[in-house]
Formats: sequence, C-alpha cells, structure tokens
Amino acid sequence: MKLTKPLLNRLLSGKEALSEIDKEEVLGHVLKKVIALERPWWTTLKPWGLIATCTAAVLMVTVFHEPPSEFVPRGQNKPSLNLTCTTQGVANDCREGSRLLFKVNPGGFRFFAALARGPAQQTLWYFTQVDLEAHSRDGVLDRAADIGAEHQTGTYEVIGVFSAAPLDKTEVKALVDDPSLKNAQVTRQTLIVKP
Amino acid sequence: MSFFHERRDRLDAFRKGDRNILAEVFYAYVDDVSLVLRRGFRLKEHVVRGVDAIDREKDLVQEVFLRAFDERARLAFNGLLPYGPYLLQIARNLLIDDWRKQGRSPVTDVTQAELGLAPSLEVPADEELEWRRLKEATARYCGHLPIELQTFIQARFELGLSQRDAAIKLGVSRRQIRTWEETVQNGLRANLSMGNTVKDRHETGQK
Repeated sequence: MKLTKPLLNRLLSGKEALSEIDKEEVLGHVLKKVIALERPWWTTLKPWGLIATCTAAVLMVTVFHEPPSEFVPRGQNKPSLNLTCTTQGVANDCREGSRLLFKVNPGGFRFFAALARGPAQQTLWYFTQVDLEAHSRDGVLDRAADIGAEHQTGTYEVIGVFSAAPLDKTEVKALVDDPSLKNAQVTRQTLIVKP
Repeated sequence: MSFFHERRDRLDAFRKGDRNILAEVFYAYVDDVSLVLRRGFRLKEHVVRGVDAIDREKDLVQEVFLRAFDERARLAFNGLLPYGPYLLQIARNLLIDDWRKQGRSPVTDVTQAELGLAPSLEVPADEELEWRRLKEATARYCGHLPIELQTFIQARFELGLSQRDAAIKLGVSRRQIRTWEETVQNGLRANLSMGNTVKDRHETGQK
C-alpha cells in the first residue's frame, strides 16, 4: 500500500474513510471548477486586469486578414483567434514570465494548431492537433504558452490554424505557407513581447 | 430524508449554484459516495469491486460531485426525488467506467450462497489486517510526539477542524498549522516506510 497523503491523513484521523482534510481539498476543487465554468472567462480577471486586457485588445492589430475560406461550414462563424497575456492570472503586457492564453472561436472546425514567427523569422511551435471539443471551455484553450527566454523582445506573428482533421507540423507549415490549401483556415495575430 | 425535502429555499439556492448550499450538499453525502467507491457494490449476482487505491477514491469522489454540481445537472434536478440515490448512481457508473478504462473487469462473480452469507460488502481480511497494523504503528508514532503536536493531530485530523479553526483553537498562526501538518505527515511516512512490509493491492492481485 503506497503511503500517499490521503492514506496518511486517514491514519492520523483514525478513520478508514476519506479524511476531513481530503474532503476540504475535494470540495475546494469542485467549487472552483464548477463556479469557474459558469463565469465568462473575462470575469475571472481583476478590474484593473480587465482594463489591461481591453487596452491590449485595442492595441492588438491583426496584420493579415485572410480571405474567407469557402470551406468554412455554412451557418458557422468564421474561426478566430484572440490572444491575452497574463501574469499570475491577471491580464498584463506580454513579457518573459507571462502566460499566453488563446481564446478561439472554432467556427465549425475541430482541431487547432498554433505557432509564432519572431522578429528574426524564427518559428516557435506552441501546439498542434489540439482537439477543441476537449480542450476549450467557453472558447479559452486549457493549454497556454509560457513566454520564456525563447521569446526575444519584439513583434511576433502568431498563426492559428483551424482544421477539420488533426494536422502534424509539416501539414500545418504547408498550410501556413500556402493558405489556398483546402479544408482549414489560417488566422494571424500580432504579439508584442515587451522587455 | 433528502437534503431538499420540503426545502424549496435550499433547492433554489442549489440550482443557482450557491457556494454554501453546494458545500452543505457535499458534506451531507460525501461519506456515502466515498463508501460506495471504496467498498464497491452489488450488481445482481455480481460484486463490483471498489477502487484499489486511496488516491483514486479521492479523484472519483471529486468527479461525482463535479458531474452532480454541473449547471445543467443542477437545473435538471427538480427536488422531488431523493438526491442521495442520484449521487450514488453517478458513483456506481463512474466506478464501472474506471475499471473498464484500466482494461480490467469491474465485477467479481459470487455465488448465491455467498451473497446469502454476506449481508454487506465486507472488507477483505488481509486488508483489514493491514489497516489495523498501520493504525497501530500510527498510534505508536503519535504517542512519541511532543504534546503540542499530539494536540494538533487531535484538532486537525481527529476532529477534522479546518486550518483556520485549528489555528484559532490552538492559538497559533495558519502557517504554523501548515508546518505541523507537513511535519506530521512526513514523519509518519518515514516511520511507516521503515517498518512497512505491506504489499500493494496490485501486487497481491486482490481488491
């Protein structure tokens, strides 16, 4: 029998049942998740964080605007991507140590990949083959990118690729280089990493 | 009697997702839910085994309440039916799914005679023995601790006081409570590891 914390807690409480400490922990997780799921994502930001997000949103400029794909399913919105940087859970400027959150509107596509091209034309891969049905809640991906040392200060082009099927890096790259390829939609956003 | 019986106010608060009511519901049913997950249950002439790891039990308890407290589930609950059986049904389904995910059969066949002899799902004897041995070792370990830690164990673990309440009761800071908690857990782990010859349930192939 592994001497895990729940087992130790039970032994210390003298009862074989779930200890009060474990119950507290479980309830805490449950309430946090249930309540977080019911709040729109922007309400989780503190007021000044919200102001920062709005400011960042205004400053964020879409540098490229792809022509609408004929493969966007009918009746669906066009897929879109919005970026927000947070520091310790609060929206803030993007700089080393921030977390980059992805808010997506799948527009009928199921899979998503994201990469960035930096000031020196270097490519940074964030993720590929993300199943949006499983990994986005209220449109916010449950995966975020940590802005680390690999992100030099400067302007990046963040490219989001929405597709009907999971694509590997080669396929994503081919689509980015030639968006006329079918059955996917490429979106681009600007990300400014500050010093 | 159901938590919501003739309590329209509770039902309304529950459906709105009021934190306090959700917490009350949780504490009203958590022991029953964890018991089903730990001990398993009968399904016609079969016995569905309980989880084989304490961590897993905790995870599944969390999953049961996450499903039950989901907004759609709350709104779908009309308060007329008893809430306990509803929660236990979620727990049973999760337990079966959990065994299946592990690629293992959730059920053990038992004969009618055995069922007749066993009025409830008993703890296997070897498991009972392991538990008793660990409990005795824990009591010995606690007996050798300074009196302040023994008082802390009584408040935090035996009485199940929250960190805040334990801090107030013992007249110390919450930080001190957290430090003691870690000290006691780590000390007990080290102590039991030295004399622990208990085999993992997986290794023994039993429940």
